Amino acid sequence: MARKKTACAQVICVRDLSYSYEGTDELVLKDLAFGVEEGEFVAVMGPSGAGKTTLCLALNGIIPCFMGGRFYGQVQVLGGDTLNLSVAELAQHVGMVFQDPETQLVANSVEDEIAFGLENVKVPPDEIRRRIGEVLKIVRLEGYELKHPNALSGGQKQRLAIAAALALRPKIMVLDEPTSQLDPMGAEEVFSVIRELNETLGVTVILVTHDSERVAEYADRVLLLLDGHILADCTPDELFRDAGLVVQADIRAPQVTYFYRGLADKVELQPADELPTRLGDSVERLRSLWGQVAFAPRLYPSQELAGLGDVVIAARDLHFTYPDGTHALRGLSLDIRKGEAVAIIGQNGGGKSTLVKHFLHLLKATQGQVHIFGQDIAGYSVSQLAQRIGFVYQNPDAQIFSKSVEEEVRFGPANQMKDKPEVERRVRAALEEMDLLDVAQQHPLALSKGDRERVAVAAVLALEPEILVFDEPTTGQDYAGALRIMNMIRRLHREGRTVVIITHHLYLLPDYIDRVVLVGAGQILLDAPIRVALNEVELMRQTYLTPPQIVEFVREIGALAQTPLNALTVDEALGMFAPVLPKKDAR
Amino acid sequence: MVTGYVTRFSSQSAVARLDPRVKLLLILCILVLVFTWSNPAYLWALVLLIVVLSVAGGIPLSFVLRLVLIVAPFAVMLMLMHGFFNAFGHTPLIGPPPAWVPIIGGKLALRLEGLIFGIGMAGRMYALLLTMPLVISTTDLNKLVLALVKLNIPYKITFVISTAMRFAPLLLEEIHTIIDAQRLRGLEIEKMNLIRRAKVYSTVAVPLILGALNKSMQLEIALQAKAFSGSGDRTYLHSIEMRPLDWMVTAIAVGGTILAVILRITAGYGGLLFTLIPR
Repeated sequence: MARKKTACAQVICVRDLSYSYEGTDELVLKDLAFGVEEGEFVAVMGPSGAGKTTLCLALNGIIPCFMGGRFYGQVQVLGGDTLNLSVAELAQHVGMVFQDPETQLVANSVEDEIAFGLENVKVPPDEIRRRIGEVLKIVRLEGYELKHPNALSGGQKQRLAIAAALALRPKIMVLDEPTSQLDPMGAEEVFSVIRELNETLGVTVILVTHDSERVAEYADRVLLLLDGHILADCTPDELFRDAGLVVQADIRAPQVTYFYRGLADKVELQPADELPTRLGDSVERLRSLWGQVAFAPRLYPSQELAGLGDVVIAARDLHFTYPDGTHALRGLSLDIRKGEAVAIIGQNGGGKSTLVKHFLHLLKATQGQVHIFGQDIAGYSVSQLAQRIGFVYQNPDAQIFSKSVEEEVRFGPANQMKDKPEVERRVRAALEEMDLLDVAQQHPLALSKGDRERVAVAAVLALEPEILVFDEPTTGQDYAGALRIMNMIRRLHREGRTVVIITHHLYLLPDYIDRVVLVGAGQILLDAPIRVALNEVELMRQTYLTPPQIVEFVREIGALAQTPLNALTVDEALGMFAPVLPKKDAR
Repeated sequence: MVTGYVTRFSSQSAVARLDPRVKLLLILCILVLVFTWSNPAYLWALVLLIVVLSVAGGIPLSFVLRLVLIVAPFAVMLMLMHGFFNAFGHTPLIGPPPAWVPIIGGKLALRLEGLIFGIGMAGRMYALLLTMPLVISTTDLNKLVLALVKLNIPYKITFVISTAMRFAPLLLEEIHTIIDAQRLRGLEIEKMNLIRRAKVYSTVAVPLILGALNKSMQLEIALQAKAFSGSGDRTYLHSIEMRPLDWMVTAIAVGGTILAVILRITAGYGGLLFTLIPR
């Protein structure tokens, strides 16, 4: 390969990179400059819209060679300018993995997916066979050669995408939020493969993610992007220890780091500037501090679930078998009471969605009954039930089809009632509730993503259901987006609605949810107040759920203090420590 | 879940292992035969042959029967339409007494010749309907693509066909999601007549097309990253070759079809017998 004179020793060299997409003047990347050493593990963080994906596409020449637009500066990969390299050469230097498992798999079997890239660069069939075996072993999908991609789980699909990229033997892998659409088990599978690529095979990894805990654990370095700039280029420790940076970029530090920052305000920590960012370090630090800090164990009271209102959703001995023979529900019973906020958690394929579809009558139980407000739903159509129980999809765009926000919101009530003034009253009320009056006449698709989410919710609210069900509302969101949605859900709950959310994001739940129902293998594995549920760490691990980091940390505190503890949040954990010994201002 | 018509069944049977080019040729032969013949006996014999081949090719009989059942209402409608209104119609079988319906009373009746013709039409429809699964469901898609490449069809076009197969089930699922979302917003699709239902399906187009555009954009980017250029100058993991059995089937299919066409033209075999009988 011809190297340019300006070649640098690093595997990636970015110089004064600025870029705007075709048809806009807005610079999405502004004067980026950095280099990446061979074998480095670089995390790219930042809020949505910071330019992370654009940067990924620039690293293998898709920007600007394929996307057009205005491109300034230079990107060098393995010493070659991306502008001068062919698509085939670039694909062999830089492997790409994207967020959506569906749209990056193009073939109709696992082996053909891996073969596709190799065929494109004219690798002979014998060699293709050899490489298929090789990469399937790395991503642990041996034996899946002939499976159709649709028969794979989300985690398996992403590992296949990694294998397909890896087959071209790139020195660099760029992964753009590869786990954000996955359940916790899928995410764990993918992360462990990425880690192995980096540590065992020496592949340089550029990984975009919002997962602060894992960045602290795995990455050598973080590029923090904000508004197209590099706000920080440092180690994960340096980033997460800098409270100002974390707040400015609207990201989240690992929970243990927040804990130690809070603790530092109470007692003097030695050395003061080295807040732990990993669970392991945190526990060690605590051991060294133990005895110097005043600790008063405290068991926090659990939310009282009894004494709530009537049962509004009652599922009795539900069985459901899909036409293909999958026995998705196996005798599941569940009561949800008026005014509760319930999270339904568990691995994909365990029966969460199947269960909720029974509440809505989108599926009919093979055996057993569902009662909504005491009425057997067998006698009601989906549309009739929709007035009692509202369902909000994860992707707002799947449910938006009208020409204006107002029409979109009117769709529901107009379907159900003839009384025009009442329809209009409901439309206005829903628009007002979701703060959409100003944009009522606009086309929904002209709005920002956050606004579209609210349009989707308003459209459901207009039917005035007493129960609201949210399907993975925070999946694919950055931290600020996830908080925005959870705050909205809390508001709707406090106004008296019963709320059910399906989610994988356990760390978001403590401030918002009262009760957790863990569904797995078509049954309820656990149904408890959130404080009890999140402390069932063994059960969580068995079902591949990740309890919030602070919960694991609090258990370590409990082990040190030899007493069971149940704090769920950083503030609760800090509440057990008192500022007694050397005070901060005693210096 | 909704892959339905394009469901795949892998099988090692002789039928499934036929060279895809031969299978494509079979489609062509069946197409020619279906439009050569109009005699129900011939057409239904062809349907039977297709069913036998399908089952031999590893498609479960239950799947074939389900397809037959789904389209049965249309088949019955075809028979009745022709039975009542086809111009061949001559011998009345059943019909209302002339006094019941004024003006057309005496003319409205189910007639033998029309009915026979309709039965033939239904056979024609089934032959066409069942041919596609016979070929597509029993053939490894890559081999089908390879067959098209070997037939000198540009790789870009064959690629579009194979990706369409990959994404069709996804789109169908998305249509379901969108319609469910509408039902969950109070749309009473159960109570609607066909015309209003069709209207609902048209509103599905907006989110569906936007979603598809978005997906195709992502797909394009992924293809770039996989060194795809659309050029036919590439290697293939799989290869296909004509075996003696393939040549044999080709000879029988082509010979048989040509013979059938000649017999139809020269001697009228496969035509409707009663049109030959002078009234």
